[in-house]
Amino acid sequence: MITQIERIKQFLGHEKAIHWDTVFATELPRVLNYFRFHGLDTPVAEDLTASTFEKAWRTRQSYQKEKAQVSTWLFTIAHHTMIDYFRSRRNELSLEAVEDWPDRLVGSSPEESAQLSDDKECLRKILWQLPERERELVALKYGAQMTNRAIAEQTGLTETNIGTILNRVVTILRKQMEDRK
Amino acid sequence: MNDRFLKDYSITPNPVFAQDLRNRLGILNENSPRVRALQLRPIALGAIALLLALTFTLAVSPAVRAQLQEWTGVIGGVLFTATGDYPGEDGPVSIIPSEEISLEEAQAVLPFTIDLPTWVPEGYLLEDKVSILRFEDGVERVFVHWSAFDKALLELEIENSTEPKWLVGPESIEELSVNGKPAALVPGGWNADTKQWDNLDTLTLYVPHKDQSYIFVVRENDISVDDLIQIAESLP
Repeated sequence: MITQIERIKQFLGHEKAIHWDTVFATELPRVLNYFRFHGLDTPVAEDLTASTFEKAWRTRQSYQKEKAQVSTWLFTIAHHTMIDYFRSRRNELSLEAVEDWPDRLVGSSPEESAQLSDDKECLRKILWQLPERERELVALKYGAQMTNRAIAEQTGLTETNIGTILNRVVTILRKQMEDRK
Repeated sequence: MNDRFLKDYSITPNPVFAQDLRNRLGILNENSPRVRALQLRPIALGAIALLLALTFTLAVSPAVRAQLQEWTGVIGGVLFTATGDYPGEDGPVSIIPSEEISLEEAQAVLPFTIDLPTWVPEGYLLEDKVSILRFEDGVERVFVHWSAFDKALLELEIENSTEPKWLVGPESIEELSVNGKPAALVPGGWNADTKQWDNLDTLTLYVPHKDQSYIFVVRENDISVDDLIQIAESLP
């Protein structure tokens, strides 16, 4: 028989509920910049951000607080969205020269590019050409603004490994930026 | 590590994009009544079952009542029965569907005023929908919720019963004062798994307000007794 009990148990179950206003306000900039740091321009990053939030919203009942923080859960969805995006363009990528990828595939028109500062457009192209793992770490660190510990939980790499890789990648990025100027 | 050039690459989301996405998620919310119903229905079921259990225990079976009853008393106009057992195990249960509507709509259709506390702890936001139960004997109950990130819901139940009565665990009830009037604080509730009254980390505060019973239910780790009383005392 259902009793007061069940009401209380179900009441306790509500702690799994996500407060979406808070999540939206805090995570939207992080998710958007996560995609931008993968070398995507802002319109594409916005599309993938929207897709991520919509997937999260639809599957929110499956979120289990005891297993992961909401941001970890959200960025797992973002990561899969990113993978799907790149996978859907695999054939297109294979046909093009590396130097042409960013402009051709991420939808940057000359007008859009002109609106960006030269430095930022240059950085976007460099980010785009990074190996997948390095680009993911940069996106989590600087786009999602995660700590190395949080990145470690997200990726399964050790904090030390993450720190070493990021240090090396940032040095390379900075040098490439300087060389292109 | 000089990484300023990377930190400067971040942008703030375009407000138009953010608002558009928020609206789209809001549309999804309105299009998902099934999920919403699943979240609230157990509360309604429990409330119904409790009322039936009380009826069964206190009215239908006086012999059982006499055997199991340990303490009965009135606090703030509410009849409480504190018992070490749960006597409604074999009682009949019927399910009354709950009605989920906006607070404004609820206020328009209910014969009593829904007064909301003017203070709740920081971070708690009032949810858009309320849930209403209508019993055959004319008793109506409305459930209002506030949610906060990473916390259990703050729940307010308002009942218009002329003879409110509740079943609680043994020695669990504490009389205290809310705005100078008697109120009842009850920690915990019945645990269906252990078949006994447990702490369960919940606090329930029964407060008479105007002609209704106002019942606040919170998780103890999220909201202290002092804050719970402050919430109740902020009722207009």
